[in-house]
Amino acid sequence: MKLAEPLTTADIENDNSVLASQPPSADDWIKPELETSWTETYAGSKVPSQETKVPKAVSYSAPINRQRLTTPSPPSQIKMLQQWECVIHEVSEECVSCELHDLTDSLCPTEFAEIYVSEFSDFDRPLLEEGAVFYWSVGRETSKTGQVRRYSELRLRRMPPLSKSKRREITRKAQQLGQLLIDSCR
Amino acid sequence: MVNSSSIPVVDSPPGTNELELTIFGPGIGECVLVHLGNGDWFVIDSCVYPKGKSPVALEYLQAMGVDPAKSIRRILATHWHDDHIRGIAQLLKACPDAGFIMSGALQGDQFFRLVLEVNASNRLVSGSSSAQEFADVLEILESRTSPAAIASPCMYAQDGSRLYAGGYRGTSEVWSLSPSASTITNAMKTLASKLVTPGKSKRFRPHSPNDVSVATLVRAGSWNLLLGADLENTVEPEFGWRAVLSSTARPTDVSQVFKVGHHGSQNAHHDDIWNTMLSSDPTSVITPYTRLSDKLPTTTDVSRIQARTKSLYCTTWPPSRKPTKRRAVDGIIAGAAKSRHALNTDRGYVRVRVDLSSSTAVPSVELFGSAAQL
Repeated sequence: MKLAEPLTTADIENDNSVLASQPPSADDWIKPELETSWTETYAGSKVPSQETKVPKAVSYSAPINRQRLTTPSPPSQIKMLQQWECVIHEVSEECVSCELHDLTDSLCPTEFAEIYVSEFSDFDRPLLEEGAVFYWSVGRETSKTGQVRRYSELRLRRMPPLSKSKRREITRKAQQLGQLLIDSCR
Repeated sequence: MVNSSSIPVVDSPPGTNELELTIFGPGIGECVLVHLGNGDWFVIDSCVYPKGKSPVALEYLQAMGVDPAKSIRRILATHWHDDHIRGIAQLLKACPDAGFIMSGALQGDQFFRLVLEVNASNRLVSGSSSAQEFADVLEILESRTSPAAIASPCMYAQDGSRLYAGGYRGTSEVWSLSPSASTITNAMKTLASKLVTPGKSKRFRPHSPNDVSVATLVRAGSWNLLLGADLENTVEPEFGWRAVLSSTARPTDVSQVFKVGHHGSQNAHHDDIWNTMLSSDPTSVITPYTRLSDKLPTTTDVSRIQARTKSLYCTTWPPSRKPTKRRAVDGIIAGAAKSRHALNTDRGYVRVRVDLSSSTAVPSVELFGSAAQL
């Protein structure tokens, strides 16, 4: 049997193994005559179910490859070249002035930069203010198809609010310190 | 006399009868060391040089063979900006006998609450923030005060406080010229408004305004040093330099050496500082500030100060440089950043020494590393 040819019911009856390993060609979807309906197996290979007649005029859609839908595609690979921890000093309409501390190489001197506000994601922009901390990662991203892109991600650090008990503890500690230092100043 | 060296050289410590003023300013940060004579050192603020591990005051004294633990008498934090207190906790820890002095505007529970709240949730991976430094300082002070005896005093500085007396023949003194009483009252209200609202996180970088800075006057023999910290001018006469100029509590001595206030900025300039508090043509030193796109001092600032003195020095010049090139990285971030610069990593500092035992002594000015005369 020629694998490129459309399968017929007879083929299916004669050789299930061929069918299981060979997906239907494009022509199968265009010109179905008497076809087998397909069921999905766990591994995603297709085996014919009990033979049923499919009317000629019925619209025909491609079978769902469940494996493709449920298993994530191989992720793109990111090669990180440099990362900074950044502290914001000023925010203007156009730019964020910040101090950059190199997390990749701690011996690198502190840098300063003005980064365009438009580089931040929409949900991070409301958090841009003096004192906020964000992380800047740059590198190269290789997609699953092998395409190489420049990668730059700016991510604002989020901080949970202090709990009531923590605030109570801090207040108590502050009062204690205040008194101790006043005493020591006398 | 001016000596210049391309490599920072630390030679012998000053003699017991020598007054020394050494000013470090790497571009962010500032640290001033004063030898008051007789082995007594007074340290004002703290910074860590790029690639440095320890506060510069420790590195400098240890390199000269001076034991900081036995020599540093007082450590003053002029205000709560992280460029002035980086490494100050480490310095304080290394000097168990040194008294700690902070601005009177920062006294009270509210300031401590603010420090502890910010520190609780805002620690940095890459280094220290002002909140971290101060929280660590408070912890050290707490550990010192909890035993029965208080080994080293803690002190709040304000206009007209004598912060230290000792040094050469026991007559050297350090006085604080600020903050004024009005500044202290005002700062208390400001701090209260910055405390965390229940249920909200704190994102801002908490700092006190520059008008709480402690400017100091050092008197040693016939020599006086005016050290301007980051004190600025305000419109109201009861704050900043205007309050210092009108104060009746401070010593009125004229100084021959000036650490220019707030990195030489226009905001810290007042004609009467030059007219009434300084001698003619005083030896003046600027520490640069490179954090923002508007770096200090500007060329206008330099020209303005040069009109007042021929002896103007800067601790690091130029204060910033282009970042190290990494082609792969530079290409990626070029589109995202409008501008970018790095600190000058050359360790620059200016040192002034004068013999207090001679009435005709001429001070020597030495420039190290990237320090320069402007």
